[in-house]
Amino acid sequence: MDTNKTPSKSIQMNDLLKAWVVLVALTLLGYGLSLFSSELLVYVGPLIIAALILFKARIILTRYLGLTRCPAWLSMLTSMIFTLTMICAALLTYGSAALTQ
Amino acid sequence: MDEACQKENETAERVYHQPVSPWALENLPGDPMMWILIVSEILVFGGALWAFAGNELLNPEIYREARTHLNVPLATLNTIILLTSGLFAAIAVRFAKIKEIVKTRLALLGAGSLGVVFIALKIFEYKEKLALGLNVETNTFYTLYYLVTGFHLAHVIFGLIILSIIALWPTEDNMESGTAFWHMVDLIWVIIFPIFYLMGQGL
Repeated sequence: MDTNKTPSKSIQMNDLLKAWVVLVALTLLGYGLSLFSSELLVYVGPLIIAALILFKARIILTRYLGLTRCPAWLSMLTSMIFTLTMICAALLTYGSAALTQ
Repeated sequence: MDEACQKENETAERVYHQPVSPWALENLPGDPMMWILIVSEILVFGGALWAFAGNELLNPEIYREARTHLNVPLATLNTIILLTSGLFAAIAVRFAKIKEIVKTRLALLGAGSLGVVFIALKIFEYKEKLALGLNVETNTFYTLYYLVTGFHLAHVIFGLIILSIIALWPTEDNMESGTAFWHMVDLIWVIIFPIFYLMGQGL
């Protein structure tokens, strides 16, 4: 009977775990911000949330999807998400500001 | 000797070339068609999210009232679940690259199980809304809420089917293509969640 076992191969997971920790922290930060209610946040809040979306999207694109080896695609997807979130943030800020006045 | 060579080839990772153009498709992880799909999905969801945000200008009072019924803690938990599922999917690709098939399948099982938990919590959230009489016809906010989150949920279900298929044939290309779809589902939720649940509350 062959008792020789093949040594188990290992993988580097530290970068993925760090990315996950940052993603969860940013999610909780966003939730934490939503608990506060102040007049300043009506104007600045959507921009902060948009920045959080961009950070998170960028981490998913680079760490989870591994797009670092395709810089043009990474830039294009980041720009698309940036445009999408900034327009949403601008519309929602304008809507909330109009309601508070 | 031949056997040793074959084993070495089997364990070798995919070689990535210096692309001729920065737009070259050859270095994209997985099938290039998956990336065309990812770009088009972002555009489709982007259009729906603009419609959602633009409608707030027309119905600000309805939006303010509708937001008070959203379960933000549950949605935050669901976001963390989906992000963790994405982590498992990324780990599965790494295991697939070194041909650790059992570990690849286990990681995919972890990703899929968390996807099922996401679906269960989403259904619970829908039931909660329906119990309050908030359905797709209640107002514009809830029409778009059900449309966008429901369409995303359909993608999660489709993503689970893809994860099951790649678990059967876990080659490096299949893994990269299949998990790219799963990460796209993750990415879309990361955009939907703050826009629906967080922006416009006090923010």
